[in-house]
Amino acid sequence: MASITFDRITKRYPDGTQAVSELDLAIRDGEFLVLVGPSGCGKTTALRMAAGLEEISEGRLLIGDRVVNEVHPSQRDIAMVFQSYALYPHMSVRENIAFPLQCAGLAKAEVRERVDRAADALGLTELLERRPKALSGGQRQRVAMGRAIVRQPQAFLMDEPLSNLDAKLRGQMRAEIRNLQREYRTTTLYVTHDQVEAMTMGDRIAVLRKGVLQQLGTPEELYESPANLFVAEFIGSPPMNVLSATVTRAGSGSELLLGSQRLVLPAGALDAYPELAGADATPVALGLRPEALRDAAGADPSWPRLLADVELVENLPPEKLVHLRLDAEPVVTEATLELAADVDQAAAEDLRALGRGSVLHARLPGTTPVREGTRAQFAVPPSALHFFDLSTGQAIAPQSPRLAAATA
Amino acid sequence: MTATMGTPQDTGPLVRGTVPAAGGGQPARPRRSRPLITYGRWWWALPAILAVLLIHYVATAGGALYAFTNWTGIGDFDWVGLDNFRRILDDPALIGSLENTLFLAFGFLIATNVVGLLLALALNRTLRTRYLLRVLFFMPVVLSPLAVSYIWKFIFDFNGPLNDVLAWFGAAPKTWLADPTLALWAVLVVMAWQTTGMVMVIYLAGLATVPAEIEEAAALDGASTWRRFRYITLPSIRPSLAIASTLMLIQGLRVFDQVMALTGGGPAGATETLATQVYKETFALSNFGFGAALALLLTLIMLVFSVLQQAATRDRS
Ligand SMILES: Nc1ncnc2c1ncn2[C@@H]1O[C@H](COP(=O)(O)OP(=O)(O)OP(=O)(O)O)[C@@H](O)[C@H]1O
Ligand SMILES: [Mg+2]
Repeated sequence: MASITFDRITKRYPDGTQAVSELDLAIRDGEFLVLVGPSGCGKTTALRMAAGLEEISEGRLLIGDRVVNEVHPSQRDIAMVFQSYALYPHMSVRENIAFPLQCAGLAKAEVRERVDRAADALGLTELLERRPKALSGGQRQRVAMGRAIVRQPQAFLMDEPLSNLDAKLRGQMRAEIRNLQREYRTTTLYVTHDQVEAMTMGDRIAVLRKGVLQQLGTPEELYESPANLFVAEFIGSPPMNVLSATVTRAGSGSELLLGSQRLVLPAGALDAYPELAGADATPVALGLRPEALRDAAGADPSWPRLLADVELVENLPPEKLVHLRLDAEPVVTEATLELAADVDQAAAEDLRALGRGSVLHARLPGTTPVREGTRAQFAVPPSALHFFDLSTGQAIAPQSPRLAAATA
Repeated sequence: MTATMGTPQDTGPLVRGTVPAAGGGQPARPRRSRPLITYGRWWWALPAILAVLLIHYVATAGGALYAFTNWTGIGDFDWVGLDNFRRILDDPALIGSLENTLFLAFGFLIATNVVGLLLALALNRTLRTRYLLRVLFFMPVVLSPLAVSYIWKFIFDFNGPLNDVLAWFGAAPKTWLADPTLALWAVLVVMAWQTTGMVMVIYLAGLATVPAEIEEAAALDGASTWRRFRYITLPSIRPSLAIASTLMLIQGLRVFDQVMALTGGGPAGATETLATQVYKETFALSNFGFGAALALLLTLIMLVFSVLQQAATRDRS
């Protein structure tokens, strides 16, 4: 096992495309690191550089303490699982899994035993004599995994290995890959564009956008304190609501102007934000996770209240997913559009055309009495507020840990 | 009848298996299993089959009959049984041309395939100038073998460029086409030079079907370049190998133009091949019966080697 380190790595393709820019990333020994980002952000490029399949334009790549920029892929002792699995079509499953061992020059008996063990771990024993063509997508995926684990390499590289599977199988394989990695404790760099996969599988997550690293942290860190609007909107499903708001002084405390509404913040709620402490009429982008909107009944009376029109209630026991409309301006940044376009071009157009107020998503317990077509009041815990600089999109971070600022 | 008219497939295997010919309606039983998505009907090929049968096989078989006669092209002839073949085996000159033919055919097969495959591997993905180079290497293929041979005859000339180049290195000039041992090699070089581009194209087409990813996977699995070629690339282009080697073997066995243009079979029959002997016996010496026997022998040799060759390159799995 070994660590993998990207030291200010840049990749420029011959046609001038700069796919990765000054990437600094250290995957610790035994860690499962997920590289996530929208389509075309350079994830595959970064992974292929780690594998040695793509030349590095600038910077150094280290495996362990060794600089491997010039080391041939076959000498790097890492295994890769391709999106298309890249199984050898003319070989049986057994031969496929045995191939890396034969390359390493192991004795026949040893090869046989290790292939059998890997096949057993992956439930492939019945399929060993089949050709890849005669396997289902999930089975091929397993064979590709088998070929990777059988050799016990320094590291695994995986490029969207689950994207060709249906949702149910994907969930199952997610857990299986995670278990295998825990068992073998092999350093893993896992690429995906699916933030759910990233959140559920990663020890740490690196978010990439247009070849630039946006944030590196544990799933909790990314969720609780996103470094900028891009990360905030990329991580979480449904995504964080982002509205433009104004922070003003009001008596001893502060107020948030949100469209036509005033949200009175409890005294000291902004103390942790040095940048906002003296704020008066400062415009910000306000971020609210869907679960930050709570049923007003029974909520802490000191929490600010928000009135919104209930447009749609999706029942998803044990939860309700509620679409609300508010007369506050949405924040449409380049990043927002990019993320929307990744999902659906039409959605991006909708966002652009969205003039009248903004739509909020709220995630409420299934027992909350909300009805479509009514106006309802919601309580917002001050600790759940995220602030971002409107012009740069960078987070306006609290100084001390968020928990300390939280009110009872 | 009406019972089975609607959906014959509903009365499928179950009914067929348990209640044979129950009632009046026979379940529709497909005569042969045909893929659902296909082109064409078998009889579309009829005109071509007839043409090939009549022009090719019937005519050839007719010609083959003369192999058992002593026809001289005009007048009557007698049946002589296997006499012609006995004469072939007894004639050291003809045995020599058989040896020459086999030497040229296998030399040609090996040279074109090895060099063609190396070129294809070199020009498959690497090199930005590969498209230009592919065209350059393919050029000789489109030229007439006679034209190519005359160019090479000039190159091989005693006062020609090849000896000039050798002179720079201080080597003595050679009579390339007049030396009994060198002439055959010279013919082989010309044959291979002209056709290697063709083989390269066949292998390039094969290599294009090998996904880059499986070669990358093999490299990451720790395979050396040789192992990657031997166990991943080569098995993937097996169909190209079969086609290229069969074509080259047959083309080599019937070599004619280059020999006639370069040496005319000389010096002293040292480069004579079966095809040139067929030509000379038949048209120069008017031994039609004997020429037909030689031609039949050549055809049989080609047939046998093609079959062996197919067996050797077949996918055994
Ligand atoms: N061979 C190449 N030549 C030029 N540009 C390339 C090449 N390969 C990729 N790119 C560009 O580099 C950028 C990053 O590509 P990459 O394949 O790494 O994206 P990705 O994050 O893996 O996307 P996806 O999620 O769609 O797989 C893209 O803009 C792409 O167009
Ligand atoms: Mg990709």
